[in-house]
Amino acid sequence: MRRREALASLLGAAALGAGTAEAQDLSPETVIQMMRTLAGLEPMPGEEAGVRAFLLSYRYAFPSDPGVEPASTFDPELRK
Amino acid sequence: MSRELLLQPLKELARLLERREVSSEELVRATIERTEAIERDLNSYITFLPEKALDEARARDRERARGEGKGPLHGIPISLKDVFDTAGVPSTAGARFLAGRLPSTDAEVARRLAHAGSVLMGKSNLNKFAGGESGENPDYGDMKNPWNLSFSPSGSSGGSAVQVATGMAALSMGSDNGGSVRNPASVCGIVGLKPTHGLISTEGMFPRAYSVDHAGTLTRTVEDAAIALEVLAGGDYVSGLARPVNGLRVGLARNLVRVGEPEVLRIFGDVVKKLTEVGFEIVDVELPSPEEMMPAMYAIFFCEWGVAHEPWMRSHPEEYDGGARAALLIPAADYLKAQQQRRLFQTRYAQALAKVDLLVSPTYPIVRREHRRLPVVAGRRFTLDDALRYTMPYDLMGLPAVSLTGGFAHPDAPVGFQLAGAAFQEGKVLQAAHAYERATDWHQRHPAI
Repeated sequence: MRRREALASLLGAAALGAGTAEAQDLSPETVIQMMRTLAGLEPMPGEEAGVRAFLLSYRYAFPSDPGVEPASTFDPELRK
Repeated sequence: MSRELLLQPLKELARLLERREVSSEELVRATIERTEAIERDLNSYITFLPEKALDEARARDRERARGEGKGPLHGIPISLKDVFDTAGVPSTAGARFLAGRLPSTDAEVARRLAHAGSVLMGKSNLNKFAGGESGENPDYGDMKNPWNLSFSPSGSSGGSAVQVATGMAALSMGSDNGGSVRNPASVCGIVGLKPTHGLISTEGMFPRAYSVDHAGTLTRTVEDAAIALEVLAGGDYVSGLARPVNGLRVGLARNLVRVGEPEVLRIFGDVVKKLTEVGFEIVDVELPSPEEMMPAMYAIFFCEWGVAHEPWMRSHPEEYDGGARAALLIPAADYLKAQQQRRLFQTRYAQALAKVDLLVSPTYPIVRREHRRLPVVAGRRFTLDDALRYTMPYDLMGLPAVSLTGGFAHPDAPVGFQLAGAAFQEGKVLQAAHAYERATDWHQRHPAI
């Protein structure tokens, strides 16, 4: 199961990279639960609105390429 | 001492000091007087250190009298963006809650500049935590553009750019993780160099996002940038500046140079013509678009930002408004996939740079940056992505890039352009920029203030 689906399963809502329709399901309560469960953060009053806006604007849908090893330390010189 | 003297290139000030036509104390005293006269309008400093600077200047003069000159920076007034730790001096990263933070040691950049005999005038204002290009700071106030006080000097190294443009410093150090050295350089009419990732140490630099953080220089000329880079990184960057550039190939991704205020695009067209006149060969290249690169940039940037700032995100959550703490919710898998994609982008940049020596583009698509409002162009309000579209790719790729003035949209509105190269090819980038600068007189214009 992809992490996004796992999140949705866990939280009952689509999370990162969610489409517009799904995004409507990212309720304030869900955001608060995500902050507590995934990051151990206690939300400040009203903070969930900004976090929700960030999550809905954040999109990363690049499909993994198993043949490319991600660099754990960035090297500006591309080595073959 | 005249304003005109303070606006001379660092190299010229060094020559005057070397010949003892002026002392460091005189130079620093004049710099203090100028700063006290104009700083109220510009808000470029968080911490100004006039007494400490005078003490240092007198010490530099005594060293010179003993024959202990340390090179071109000896006795030269400089400033540091307030992301560089300075022992015993507040180092805030632009956040007031860190005003009591007094590091026990200097950042490596500060240490090298002090060792070279420069005189630290103070710590420059910036966007809080070096985030954004607005030239705003909710804790320490907006920075003002010296060319027109109604506008922003851009950011995040806005205070540094203001100081260099007005003669309050001959060199200022900035940081760049999306364009924060080059964008202020563009709208302040000076030179901003962001070298290859890691070439200038970021040790002791307040972190924003580790793998895209760069330290960079703001100077009034390209040669001054080369002088500073020799001190900061070692190596020889000055002697090759005057080499002929005839036949050097400059890559231009024409399809990506579509976004910008009309004056920016017009001036960029003039720059390309001038480069041809100077002897460069313009070659069409294909590069990944900023639209492709931004999602990977954000995945990497926000994950690293969340890690770098987690202690304060937990202890001072009120300092991270607007949902910034969401950075801690980005999946690790996204971060690693973004690092995969980054390598693929590197391959495409390497393919382009195998055909050419350099790449050219505008720096900043905006002529006059208003505080709290990006411009509307062709019926669409610019976004942060638009503002960073030309500079951000070189942070993600870690490649060297320099911004210098390519023209003026109005008498009080300089517009920069950007030359970039392969990793660790700063010499070639500076050589090309120097050739353009020598063929124009934009760098000899200064704000009226």
